[in-house]
Amino acid sequence: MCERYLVLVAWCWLPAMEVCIERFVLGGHLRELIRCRELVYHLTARELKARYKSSVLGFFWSLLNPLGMMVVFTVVFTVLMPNNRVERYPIFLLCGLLPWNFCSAGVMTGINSVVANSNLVKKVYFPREVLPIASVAANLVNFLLALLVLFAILMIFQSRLSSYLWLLPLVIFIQTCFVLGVALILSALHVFYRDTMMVMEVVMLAWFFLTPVFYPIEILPTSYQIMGITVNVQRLMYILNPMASLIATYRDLLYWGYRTDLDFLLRTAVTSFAVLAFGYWFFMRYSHRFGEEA
Amino acid sequence: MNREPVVRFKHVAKRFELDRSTDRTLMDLVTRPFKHAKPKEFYWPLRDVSFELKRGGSLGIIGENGTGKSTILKLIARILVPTSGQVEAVGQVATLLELGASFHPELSGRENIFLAASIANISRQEIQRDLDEIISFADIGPYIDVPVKHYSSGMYVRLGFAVAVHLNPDVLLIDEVLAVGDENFQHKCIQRIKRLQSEEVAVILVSHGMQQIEDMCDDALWLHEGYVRSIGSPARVIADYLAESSAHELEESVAQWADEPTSEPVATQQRYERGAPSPEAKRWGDGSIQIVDLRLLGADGRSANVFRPRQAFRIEFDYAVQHSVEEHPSFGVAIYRSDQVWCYGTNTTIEGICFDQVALSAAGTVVIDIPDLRLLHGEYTLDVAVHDSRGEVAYDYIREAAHFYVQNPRGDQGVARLDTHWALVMNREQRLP
Repeated sequence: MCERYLVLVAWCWLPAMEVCIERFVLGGHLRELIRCRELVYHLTARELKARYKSSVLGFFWSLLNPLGMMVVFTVVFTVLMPNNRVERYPIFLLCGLLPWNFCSAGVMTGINSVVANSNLVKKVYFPREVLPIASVAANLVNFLLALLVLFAILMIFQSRLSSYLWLLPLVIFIQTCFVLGVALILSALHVFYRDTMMVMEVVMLAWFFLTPVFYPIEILPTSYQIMGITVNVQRLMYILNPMASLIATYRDLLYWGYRTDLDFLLRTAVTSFAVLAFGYWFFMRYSHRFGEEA
Repeated sequence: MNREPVVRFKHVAKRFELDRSTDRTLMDLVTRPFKHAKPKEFYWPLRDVSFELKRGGSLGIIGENGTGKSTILKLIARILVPTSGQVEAVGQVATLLELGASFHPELSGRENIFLAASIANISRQEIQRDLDEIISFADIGPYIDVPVKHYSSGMYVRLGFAVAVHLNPDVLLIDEVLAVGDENFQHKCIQRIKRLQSEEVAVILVSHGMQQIEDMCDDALWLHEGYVRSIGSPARVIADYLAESSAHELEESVAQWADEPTSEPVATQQRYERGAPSPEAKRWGDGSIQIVDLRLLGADGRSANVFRPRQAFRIEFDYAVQHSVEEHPSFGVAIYRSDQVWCYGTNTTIEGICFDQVALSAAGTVVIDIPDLRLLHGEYTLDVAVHDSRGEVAYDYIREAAHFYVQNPRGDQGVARLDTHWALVMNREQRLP
């Protein structure tokens, strides 16, 4: 059943891919972007350097921040609210918190990437998509460094590592695609509507609570009556919130030491790539106007 | 030589929406369908512009402020897209729209060079090769590893220029940026641009410095109300442009200072340059005698503001006596070049003309005839003044009351033409072998 579904998806995607390849690769947009990889590298480095140059502890902040959050949540959940006991809570939390931080920081800095560089956008030409890409990439670097801390903590807790850990880079790649897709859409929107940022600040907060970052998804009911319809909130969460699926996968690999369900991962991947493809299309559609609007 | 065009404009039009402040928030988007739709207002800096620039060619764009000169550059640089028509630009386009626009304050000069190079799609290895030359051209020595936020504005601009000209462009766009930096550096920049021109780099220069355009460009384009008014040899286009704007410009500048009331008498210790009460003052004096109108007349006796050396030049200004003054008044003029060189100044006291208090009627005209204008190529401003005979109390002083230009087809350089007699004296004993 599952295989058939996959074949169907693949067949549906092929013509779409063909159109994409013709429009973007042969149309020169992607080629131009690939030529600019050095610029992406420099802008990413610039973002990282600029972020930490004026602070005393430098890039250690990217490590200290999740650790501080970890302490806060651990205190709140194990001391103040001891009902929902989760084993090895700090690890459980970090497995969700680090990917979440990547997502939220990637989206929030990504939104502002074009407007914050308006002096550049108005004075020099370069493929504009480089800006959100670089800002997501900078956050990806932060995330990877923070993962090192997570591994150190895994060692301290003498956690058993999953033999499917090699899937981790793939999961990170899928998440990066998703975050980039969202950042592309919102950064383009932010150029034209400056309250996108304000709205997103609230949305990110809601999204944080709606994502099982600091609580296990199992506490959500599997059947819930709303207006006479029975909904499986857990399942709905996975369908509507790619971050929930991604964090579940991270936990499978890092916390539970489980190999994760491949078709589950694949569906998440398809969603992420679709978001990225749409984001790229949306961004390219409006990027030519950034020069006068940013 | 037949060269391929590197920049081509085909019937290009560009419009901007005025009043983009509405529709700026999501709230506007939601409420828009319910509101009374206001027709959008557009502003068209370019309506129909076509031209071609060949490899190694150079084009100067002139026109009044807000006629879309910078828009043309931004279209070539692909920062803007045309509303209609076609813009084609071949190869690497380097922009000097704003020097150091791509710099990040937290990064060092060296890091910013690499960043700017990567924006222009130039690899690290390539720019590494030119690095020493860039640093020496910018002349910032050890500061290259200091974050650019600590740079002085001069250093910032020098580095910006040095990077831009070392990016091996095919087309170089320059927008008024040559007016920055000290004299020495400006000269260096112009030399560098001329070298690039000889290396087949196409240059487009937007400037209000007519002389600069005449010096540096093969062609000039006069942009007027969104259309190409004329295109051709710089001397001709500039002469036409100045001739048209002259009458209008003079009227405007007279209207400008005529609105400005004369201020209180100035105490001696408060005086700035030219006796002004403040560095920015355009007009001052106690107003006992006022200057009410000013005319510059050419050889044909008609109002003009473009002149040539050796031509007749006449300054006329009208005065009105408001209160009778105790001293014999003295009328004066001073000519400054656009770079603030004081070229000439005189007044009736120096010339030995004494206006008797009684002889001065309530209103009249002072006429100054210069039968042989000796000034050379450049833009000049004229100060006119009425003060007491010792030059201590200004009744009315108008700084930069009028602008005028001198075009010199002969090509001798400097401030003024001197009479020279040349002779070649042969030494009979030493012959060529």
